[in-house]
Amino acid sequence: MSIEQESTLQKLVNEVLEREGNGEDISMNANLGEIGLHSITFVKLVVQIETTFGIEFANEDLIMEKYETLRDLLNYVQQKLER
Amino acid sequence: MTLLKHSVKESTYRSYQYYAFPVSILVSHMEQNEGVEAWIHSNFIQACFDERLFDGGVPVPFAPYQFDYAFNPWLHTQRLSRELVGMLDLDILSFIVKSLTHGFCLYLNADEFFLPNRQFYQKQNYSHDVLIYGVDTEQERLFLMGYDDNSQYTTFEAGYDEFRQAYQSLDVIENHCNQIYLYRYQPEGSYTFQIHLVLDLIEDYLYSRNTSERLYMVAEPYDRTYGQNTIASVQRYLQLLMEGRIEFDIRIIHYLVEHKEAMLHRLRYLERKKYLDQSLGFADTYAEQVYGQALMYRNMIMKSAIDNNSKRVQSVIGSLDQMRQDEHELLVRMVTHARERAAKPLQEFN
Repeated sequence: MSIEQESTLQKLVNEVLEREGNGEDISMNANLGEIGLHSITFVKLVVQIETTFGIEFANEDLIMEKYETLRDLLNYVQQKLER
Repeated sequence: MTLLKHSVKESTYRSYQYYAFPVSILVSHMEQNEGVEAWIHSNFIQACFDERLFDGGVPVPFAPYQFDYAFNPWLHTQRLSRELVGMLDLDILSFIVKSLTHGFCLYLNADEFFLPNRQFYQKQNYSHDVLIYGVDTEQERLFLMGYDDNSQYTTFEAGYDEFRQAYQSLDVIENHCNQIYLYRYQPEGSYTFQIHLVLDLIEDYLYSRNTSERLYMVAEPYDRTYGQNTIASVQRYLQLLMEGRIEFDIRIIHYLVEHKEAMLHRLRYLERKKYLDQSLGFADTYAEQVYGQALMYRNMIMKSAIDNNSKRVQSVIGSLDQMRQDEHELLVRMVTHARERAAKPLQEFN
C-alpha cells in the first residue's frame, strides 16, 4: 500500500470537508461518518478520487455505507488501479 | 437557569423541515414510548408530487402526504405568528427563553444571512425555517436544528444578537412564512398500531389513490400526483434536468430515498411485531431491490450534478421503471400475506 496514495486520499478528504491543513491527522482506520463525511460530501470525494487517480467507480459502489473506513476506500481505489 | 436543552434527535424523516422538526422531538422519546414508533410507521406511507413544479416551481415539490405532522398524540402545540408577537410588543429573545423554560421548542423562520452554519450565512438574505430547542442564558446562545451549509439536517448554535438580527430581518426581506409554533412533548399521549389502516394506506400508495379524499369532510382533496405514479413524475423531472430545462433540486431525489427508507423501517417493524413472517424476507428483499437501488440512483444523480455526465441521469430514468415494478410486486405480496396473517389469532405466531 503506497504511503503516497494514503496521503493523497487524506488530502482529498480534507479538501472536500473544507478543512485547514493537508489531512495528515485523518486516521485511515476512522469510520467515514466519524471523519465528517456524509452522502453529499462522499459523492464529492468520489468525483475527486476519480479525477486524481484516473479511475471510475461502478454505480453500485457509490454508496458510502459500503466502506467502513478510509482504508476500505483506498483498497477499492487500489483494486481499480490494478485492473 | 444557565443551560436548557429539550430532547431532539435526527431521523430518517427529514427531507422538509416542516415535518422534520416535530418528528425530531417525537423520535427522541421513541425508546421510552412504544406508541411513537407505531405512529411513525402509520404515517409517511403515501407520497405526493406537485406537478406545478413543471410550470415554474413550488416550495414542496415531492413529499409525504401533506399533513401537519405536529398534530399527533404527544405534541402540545401553540400556533402563534410574527404578527401576534408584534402586537403584544414582546421582545423575541425574552419570549424564546420563556417558551423554552416552559418546556416548549419553537418553530419559526429566520434570515439565514445571520445564522452561522446555515447555507446562506453572510452570503444572501433568505428566509428559512428553524427549530429552537435550547438556550444557554450565561453564554447567551441558542441551540438550533435544521439544514446546515452542507445540506445536512443537524444541530447548531447562534448567539442572541445573531438570532435577533435573523428574526428582525424578515420584516424587510421577502418572507412568506410568519408562523411561530411552540411544541411541548406530552408523555401521556398514546397510540395503538392498526395493521389494517397501514395496509390500506400502503394500497393507496401502490394504486396511486388520492389519500386526501379520505378527509373530504375536512377539506377539498389536494390536487397532486400520488403513490407509485410519483415515480413517473420523478422520471419527467430527471428528463428535464438532463435537458437543462429545470434546476437541480436535491430534495426530489432525497425524498425518493427517504420514502424507501421509511418503508424499509416499516417492514422491519411489521416483522418484529409478527404482522409478517420474517422468514419470508420481505424487508431484506425490499432493502436490496428497492431501498438499495434508490440510494444508488440518488448518488448517481448527485454525481452527475458535479461532473455533468448526463448519461448517468438517462440510466437512472430507465432503471426507475424496474424499481417501481419490483416495489409493486413485493408490496402487493406483502399486503396479501399480512391480511391473511391478521385474520388469524396472533398467538399462533408467538
